[in-house]
Amino acid sequence: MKEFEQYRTNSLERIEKIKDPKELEQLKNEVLSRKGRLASFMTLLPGLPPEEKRSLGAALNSFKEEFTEKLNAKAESLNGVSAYKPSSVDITMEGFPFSSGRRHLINVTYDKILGIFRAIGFSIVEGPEVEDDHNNFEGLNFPPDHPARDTQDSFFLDNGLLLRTHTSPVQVRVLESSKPPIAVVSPGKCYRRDPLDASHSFMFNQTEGFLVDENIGVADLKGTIDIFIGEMFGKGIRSRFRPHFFPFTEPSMEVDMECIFCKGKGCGVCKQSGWIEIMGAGIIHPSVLESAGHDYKKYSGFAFGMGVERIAMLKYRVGDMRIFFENDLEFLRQFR
Amino acid sequence: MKYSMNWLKRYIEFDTPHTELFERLSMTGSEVEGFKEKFEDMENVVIGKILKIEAVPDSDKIRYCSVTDGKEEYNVVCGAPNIKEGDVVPFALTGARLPGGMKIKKTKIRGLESQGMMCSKKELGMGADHTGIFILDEKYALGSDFKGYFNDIVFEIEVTPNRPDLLSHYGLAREVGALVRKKPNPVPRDEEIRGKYESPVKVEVRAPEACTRYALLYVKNVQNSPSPPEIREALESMGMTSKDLLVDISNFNLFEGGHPTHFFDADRIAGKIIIRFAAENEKCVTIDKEERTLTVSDLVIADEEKVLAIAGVIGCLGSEVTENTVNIAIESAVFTPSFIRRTKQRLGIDSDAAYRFERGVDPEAPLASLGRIVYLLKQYTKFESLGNIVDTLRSAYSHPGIIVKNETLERILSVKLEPERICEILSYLSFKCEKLINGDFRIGVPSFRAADMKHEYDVIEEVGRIYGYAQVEPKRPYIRSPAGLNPYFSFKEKVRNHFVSRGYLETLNISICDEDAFKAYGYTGDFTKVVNPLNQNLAVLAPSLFPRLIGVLVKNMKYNPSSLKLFEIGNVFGGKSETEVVSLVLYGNYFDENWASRKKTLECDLFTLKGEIAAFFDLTGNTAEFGECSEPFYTAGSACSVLLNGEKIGHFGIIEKSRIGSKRVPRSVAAAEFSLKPLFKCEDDVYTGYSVFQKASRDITMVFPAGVVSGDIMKTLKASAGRDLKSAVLFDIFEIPKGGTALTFRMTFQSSKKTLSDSDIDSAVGAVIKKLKERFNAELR
Repeated sequence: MKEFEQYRTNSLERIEKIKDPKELEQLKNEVLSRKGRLASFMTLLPGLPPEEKRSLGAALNSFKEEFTEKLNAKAESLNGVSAYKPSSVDITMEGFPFSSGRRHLINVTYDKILGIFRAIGFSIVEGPEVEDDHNNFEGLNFPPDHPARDTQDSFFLDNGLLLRTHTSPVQVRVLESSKPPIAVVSPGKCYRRDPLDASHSFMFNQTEGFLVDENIGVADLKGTIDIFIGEMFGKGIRSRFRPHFFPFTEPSMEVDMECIFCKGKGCGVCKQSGWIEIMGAGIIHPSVLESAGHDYKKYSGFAFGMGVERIAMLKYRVGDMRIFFENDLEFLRQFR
Repeated sequence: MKYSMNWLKRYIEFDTPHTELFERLSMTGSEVEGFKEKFEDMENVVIGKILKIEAVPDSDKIRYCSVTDGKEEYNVVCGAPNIKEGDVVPFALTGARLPGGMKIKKTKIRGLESQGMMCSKKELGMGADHTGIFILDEKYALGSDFKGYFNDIVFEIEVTPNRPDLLSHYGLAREVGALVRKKPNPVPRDEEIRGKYESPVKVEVRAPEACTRYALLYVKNVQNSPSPPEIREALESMGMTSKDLLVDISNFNLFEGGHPTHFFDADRIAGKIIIRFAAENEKCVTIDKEERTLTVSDLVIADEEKVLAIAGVIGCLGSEVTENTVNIAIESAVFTPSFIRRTKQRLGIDSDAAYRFERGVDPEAPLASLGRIVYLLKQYTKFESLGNIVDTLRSAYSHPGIIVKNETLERILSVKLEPERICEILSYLSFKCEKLINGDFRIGVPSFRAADMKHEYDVIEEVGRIYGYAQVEPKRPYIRSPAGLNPYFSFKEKVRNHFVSRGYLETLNISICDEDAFKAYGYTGDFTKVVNPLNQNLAVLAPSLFPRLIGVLVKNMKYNPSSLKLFEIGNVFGGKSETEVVSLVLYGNYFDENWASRKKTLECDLFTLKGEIAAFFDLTGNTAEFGECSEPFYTAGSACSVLLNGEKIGHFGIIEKSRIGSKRVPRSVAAAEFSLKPLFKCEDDVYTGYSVFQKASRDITMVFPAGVVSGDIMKTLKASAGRDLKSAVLFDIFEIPKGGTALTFRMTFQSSKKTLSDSDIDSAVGAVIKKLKERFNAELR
């Protein structure tokens, strides 16, 4: 222990006196190398009684730290750079190939859509993909044997149920189980009997949104959708609300936004119209509120539904809907 | 529906250019999906007159004509038989373009120069008639553009299901009237039809719930003939071919007023007309020569012997009007939409009649249609006399009216409108609008809107769509309900992000798929099946996800990846159940190849996978147990089932190669699938504190006899090491040549109360060794 104390003071003093980098390197080797003095002190440790072992061990560690620090400081003052510059490693070689994964582009799009509505104050509610006629049609004011059902050609299942044709059944479920004020967005997969082509798929993703409270009207719908379009596609992009028909909204409309490809001048994408249709919307039909047990004279609401693939196609310029379901590696790896 | 601009303009005059009209229609709910000018491709066809016709030697067909456009004379070779000197004809000048792309050039035929061409209707794109040149009326000015007199714009509107009243030219004229603020001209019709005698054909309605009104008009000794040009052209603009006057009048009335009628040959009706439901398996042959088998919910028009027509859908052979028809019976009825729709759908027949009846026709239409048809018959042909109209209507049309509260209107449309403006909009749409003293409105609904107008909101929409939503100022919504965070949804996002940051690519597969793809993995029975699949290869809902992920892998083998990690979160189906799962597929090495990975290749074997799964469970805060797994798609002995609180929630393992069904996958494929819901914990973690005292580690190496498994050893070790054991890992393993296996365990001890002394640790380790010796007959090495 004494011997070590002496060596410690001595070697720390020696650092101060050195003026030549080579000498410094020699000292470093003498002390720190594998067969150096510090190592030889270490070999003594196992033979010592536990208490001495502990105190010498601690002293050795603190010396090593102090010595290295001073040595580096000296080296820096002599060379102007660290003495430990690695010289034998080609740092331009690639690192270990940890790969980062990717979310699917549809889920990237969902994140954006849902993020916007969450920020406005909507809650996310999900529902099942296998539904009954009540939630998918009747509760949404689609009478049986009505031509309005033609636009939502369904897959029927052998268990007597059907695959939902839109995410609106969640509207029925939420309205039947909660009281206004309600503000909900509902994402999910939907199914319609459309053969697969560049703009149709028999499975697709939709985001439904609805708000029910006192005094809700077309202005609230427009305000909400305008926020969405602004956040999703860019501030200042114009929208227009074109009258349309859906059984579960009245008035019903389709929402167009100014074509983002030609800034409304007219191009191939918007078929020269300057507008691109992005969703259906409207004021919730009083029968929908009434059949869920709400007083439509007190409450009103708006609802909208958009195809997530369509939004993704516009936002990320994907020309063909089938690409989303092909799962080609080149596609899967592209989007972060 | 398709509309002809010329036809529309028979009922309403307006100067609005067509593009502007289409824009306004689209912006008020009748989206114009496209339009085509009839003579879009035509250029330089003018009105010409034949001055002289000379014979050509050696030809009995071709003649040499001199044609003038009023300024110059042209020599034209022509082979048409129907021309004579003085005829006015469409004349294509040299350099003219005809529909279909044909260009007119100067040519020589039999040595004779031909400077232009006289055109047949077919050459002008005006139908199939190619028997001769289209001879025109003399009123047209020579040299003027042919298009100017004959052009038309045919446009298509997506008529929404709530607006059957728009499915006719007159219906659209009413709508256009509301936009240009004009009332359409009334259609000329015989308002009062007075028959001379009782109708010889009687009517009995046995299904009044499906046929709310049936009117029949007997016309005696009617002369059928070809249709006049105005009827023919109108029908041709709808893409129909003219047949004969009687059939054409029925169709003309349909596209004019929107009401389907049916003409029967009255002499082929046996006894009276009966409107009834079909008998089960009753058969009939429809006019498209298909035999149809009917059922008890199909409404038919029958006589006392046979089915005459499937009501509102299609007529049958045996009673149709032919060239020999003398007396006719004209059906003009109202059928209940749902019956017509069911029959139409079941039989797969799309007819113009069914399209309108299933949407609902004007209850007042039957007599109006008959009045119009009589007017047209009088105008275009001769008949001897009419019978009295049979009409089964029991009560005249009445609508109670709709009260529209001004408060509701303002709230829903978010605008304040002058009452006069509201009434103006509604009255141009043919509604009656009465202002009440309290500021509300009583709205009278015309018969042709009765099907759609049931509720105050229906009227509000009419006001809104004409007023225009563009004029409503957007308002940022104030949401009073707090945004619920949906912790399960956030949990799924966490899971998704976990796998993404571990290098997994997320896939998206369609849930409707081929049963065989799952049978290959040993799935049998209990598929949720699609009753009406698009095709037989897409007939079940996926019972699990990983076979689809392996499908994705196989498809991507074209890129020959050395490693691939895929995952997907989605629902799987069986019977009535729907379960959300996360599924993983790992292929080849865990890391992509490069110089560094070559030194430490990590194959995706069972233990890579097990480690991956353990990390995932750690993330979710669950302690899962791994048990034996006998799923047929895994290699025997290389798979585990995953249990949570004793309940099986999933499985993982190395896929049995033969299941993959592709030889292009050289390396091993690992897969895993778990239910997500059971892994979701609602409660937040609570801070438990941590020890500030020193940790100490000890290794022990013991030799165990064959057959002892490390999982059992670990359990015993943990149970016997005392409460200060912080962690234990299997650190090393090697086979002893003489027999048995040496296992090294590293145990880390830490107390929450004190720094453990050597003797504390020694005694804990001693207890472990003692227990392992006892329990497994192990020896310290």
